[in-house]
Amino acid sequence: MSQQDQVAGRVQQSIPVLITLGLGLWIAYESFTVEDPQPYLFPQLISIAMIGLSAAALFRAVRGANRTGAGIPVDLLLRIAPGIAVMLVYVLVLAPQLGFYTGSAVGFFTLYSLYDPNSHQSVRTWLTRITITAGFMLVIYLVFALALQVQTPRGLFL
Amino acid sequence: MSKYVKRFGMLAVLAAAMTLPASAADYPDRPVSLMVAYSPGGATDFQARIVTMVAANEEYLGQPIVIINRPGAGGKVGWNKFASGARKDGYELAAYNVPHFIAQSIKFKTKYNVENLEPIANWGADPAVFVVNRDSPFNTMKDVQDFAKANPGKLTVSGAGLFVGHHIAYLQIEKALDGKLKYVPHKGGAPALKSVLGGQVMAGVNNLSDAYRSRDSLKILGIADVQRNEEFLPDVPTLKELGFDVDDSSVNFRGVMVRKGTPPEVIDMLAAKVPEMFKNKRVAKQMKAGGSPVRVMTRDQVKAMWAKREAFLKQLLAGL
Amino acid sequence: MEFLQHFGPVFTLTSMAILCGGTIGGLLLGATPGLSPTMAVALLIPFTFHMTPIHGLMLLGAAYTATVAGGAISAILLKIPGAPANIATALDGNAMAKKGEGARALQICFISSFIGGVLGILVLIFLTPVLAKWALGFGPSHLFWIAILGVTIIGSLDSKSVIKGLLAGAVGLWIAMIGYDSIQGVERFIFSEHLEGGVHIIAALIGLFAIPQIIEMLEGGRTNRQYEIVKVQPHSIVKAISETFSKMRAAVIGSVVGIIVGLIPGAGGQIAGLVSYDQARRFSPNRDKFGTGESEGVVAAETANNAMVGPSLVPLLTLSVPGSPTAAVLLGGLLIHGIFPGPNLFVEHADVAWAFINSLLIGQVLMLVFGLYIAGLAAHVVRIPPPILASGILVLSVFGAYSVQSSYSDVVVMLVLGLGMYFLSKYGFSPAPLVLGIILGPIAESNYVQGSIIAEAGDGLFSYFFTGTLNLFLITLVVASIVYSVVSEIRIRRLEPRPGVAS
Repeated sequence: MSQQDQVAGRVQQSIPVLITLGLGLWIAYESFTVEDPQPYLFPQLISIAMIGLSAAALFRAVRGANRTGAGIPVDLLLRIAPGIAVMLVYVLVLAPQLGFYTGSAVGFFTLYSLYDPNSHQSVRTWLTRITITAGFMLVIYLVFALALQVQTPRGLFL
Repeated sequence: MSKYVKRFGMLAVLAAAMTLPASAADYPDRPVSLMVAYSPGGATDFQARIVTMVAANEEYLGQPIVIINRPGAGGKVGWNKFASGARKDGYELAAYNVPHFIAQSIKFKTKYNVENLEPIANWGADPAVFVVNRDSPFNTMKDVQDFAKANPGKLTVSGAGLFVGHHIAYLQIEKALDGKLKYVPHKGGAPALKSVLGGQVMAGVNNLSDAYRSRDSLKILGIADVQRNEEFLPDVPTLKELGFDVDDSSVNFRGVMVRKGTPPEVIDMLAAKVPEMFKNKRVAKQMKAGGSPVRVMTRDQVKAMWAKREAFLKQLLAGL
Repeated sequence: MEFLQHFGPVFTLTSMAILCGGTIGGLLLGATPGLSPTMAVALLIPFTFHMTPIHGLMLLGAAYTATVAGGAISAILLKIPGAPANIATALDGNAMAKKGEGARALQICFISSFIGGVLGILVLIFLTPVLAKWALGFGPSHLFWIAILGVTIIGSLDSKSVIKGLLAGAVGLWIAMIGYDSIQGVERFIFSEHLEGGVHIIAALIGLFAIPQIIEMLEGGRTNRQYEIVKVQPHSIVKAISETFSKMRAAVIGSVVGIIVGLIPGAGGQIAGLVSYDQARRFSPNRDKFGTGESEGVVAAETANNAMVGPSLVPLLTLSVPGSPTAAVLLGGLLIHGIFPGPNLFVEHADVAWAFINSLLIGQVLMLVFGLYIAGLAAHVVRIPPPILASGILVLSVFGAYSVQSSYSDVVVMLVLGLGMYFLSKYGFSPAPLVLGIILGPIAESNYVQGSIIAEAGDGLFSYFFTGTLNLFLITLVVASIVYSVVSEIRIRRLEPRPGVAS
């Protein structure tokens, strides 16, 4: 392993710990500066524990002693990015705006098509994708909406 | 160009006509929802399900009422959402719990208050009762008062949370006993009653209906109401009878409301039919079987009750 | 033996149809991520309106039993626990499935569920009068120590690094503090309107487990080359039975822990599986293999989960005090039919009460039969191509998170927590200690606050929390648990070579 990889590994390992350290410091700030500290006893204790543990983990990361978890390489990030984007659009826009069943059909179809290894050129692939999406949505609609009568988000449509 | 404008205008009118309720005269022409700000299975939830079960009968709404549970933060999540987002066409109703929602609107920054909600009718009134364990040395409220006076701050009393009916009853009782007690808030009425049964606290303030079910393991010393409960506990005196100045301010009233801005014709129609629905024989029978005290009140009576509670709570909670 | 006289109404055609329907439906609902037993029972209550009280309660009883066990199916095959109680099952169960032993894991899981479940219901039938009072005796100080005992196992739970496990636990404890606290009457850390109602445990569970799994399925891009497709080899049921019975130690630990935790109102029956898993590991000669697909872990977790069901109804049926969220929902279901649980239940409504309890017992048998059948079908589930599986789980996750409280905020919170957890999991953090923190936080805090108020009225904080036999016993357990963790950590450090470089 080269010197450079080692440094990169240590930096990678420090990222999540720095985030928890920041969170701990913020919780400590919020819970030590309130007017009535009584309901903030537990947050205070938790923030101290978080800061202490983060500092210990950071120390280990910088020394290179953190050996669990490999981090996220850039190529992996690029492969999952479209999927995460679909998830965000589906959850934040499609499902609440179009309605749960319509939004989910669109979300399901998009995510499935994006990651389906079969050729995008073939008509059969697209027919399969539409059939599976429609079938899945029909089953959950029958079970949840008609049989169990569960409330789901309503938008423009169901 | 003007042709298109005209067509577009017609489309817009058509669309508007389709989305708006056809007219208040046809109301309701589809199922109506009732939002309950507590979890399924809770007292408010199952009572709401019972009192709305005959809504589809022709003499009432002619349409079923569907219950939607939106619990969280002691009811605040559901009511906030209702007061800010519910449609004002009469198809979205909500259940209220007095004094909870009024106390919360005074104590916290909520999106709801007595001003932006319109009561329809009241179905139930569950007064708070003062209970002790069956093995407790206290047999009367007088015993409780004597102990509290001799040992200020030593008498622990459980109740469901802060700024709810139980807490308000507790505050009134503490004042009336002229002694110092210790309030132990719990996450709901059931855990609070459990603490009395398990002997973790010396006494408790709880719902009449819950205490009634556990009456074999408890002693129910007094009711925080202006009249006795003839239906379930005819032998238990009110605190007032016992000489303590506690009125019905803590009684947990449950009923139906809509958002302000709902068409007056719709409100009038609901205000006329819903109380009749609550008085239905099947509803009354089922409510009695479930141990739930019924008190049907009309819109005007509820309006007066809300105003009275708000004035009282503002004064009571000012010092806290 | 009174219960034997009341088996009659259970063995009619209608009753059996309801029980079978409830069991199959319950297993499937339980396996759906985000549909917890509490939720399933709540969904079914409106159906009982149209039935006689006896039939209505049979449906609820069978569904409750089956959803508790059903949550293990997705935990084992997909590492997505159906309910918080199934987290411990996912640890070793999924590791077994990854090795191709999914069918074996499911068979052992259902057999263990059956053992634990039947023992728990026998406790409900025979020991109810004795235990009801005892269960109510647990006060705030005891529950506080029980929660602390839970905190002591956070560090060693499903984490290769103790520091990271504890750190995840601390984050979980903090997440539990968000929102309105009815005991202290304050609103804390509401930095987004979505957090007004706090973070619901089910929304958190779905987010923390399901979302990272979905993203992992997408890691290969369009080629699918990275996601390990689980193969399920067939496995003989007879072998599974003899294997389960050879893990007697784990089954006994699981049943005892499940029964005790289930009995105590407010202890959060959800932790029964995790506590029992942890204890079984400590007492096992194979403790180093836990987490790598050791069937003993599955036995311990699943006996405990199901052993909890019967005892959790003891305080409800005898004293009308619901000890768990599911029991609270069942109380509503009983009251709607005009049936009052309490000391008179077995006098006034003996037929209904016993029919309900007997349906729980028959429900265990049906759960075992249908569960073993499902174990045979498991191979088909995992053959679904990853992009379809990922999309389907995503839709079900959104549905599950929303349906708990009809709140879209829960869906947003679920997704945000899930995305965060995916990134953290790449750095060696695990969701199990985080969820345990979310469960334990409110138990520890609310009981501490209540205890300190009661102590103020009594003899002070120290004597309230540190005296009394039960307190001292629990404190001893806490100390023993910490000492054990420290000693085993030091031993592991000594055995391992000094770390050189980060990999």
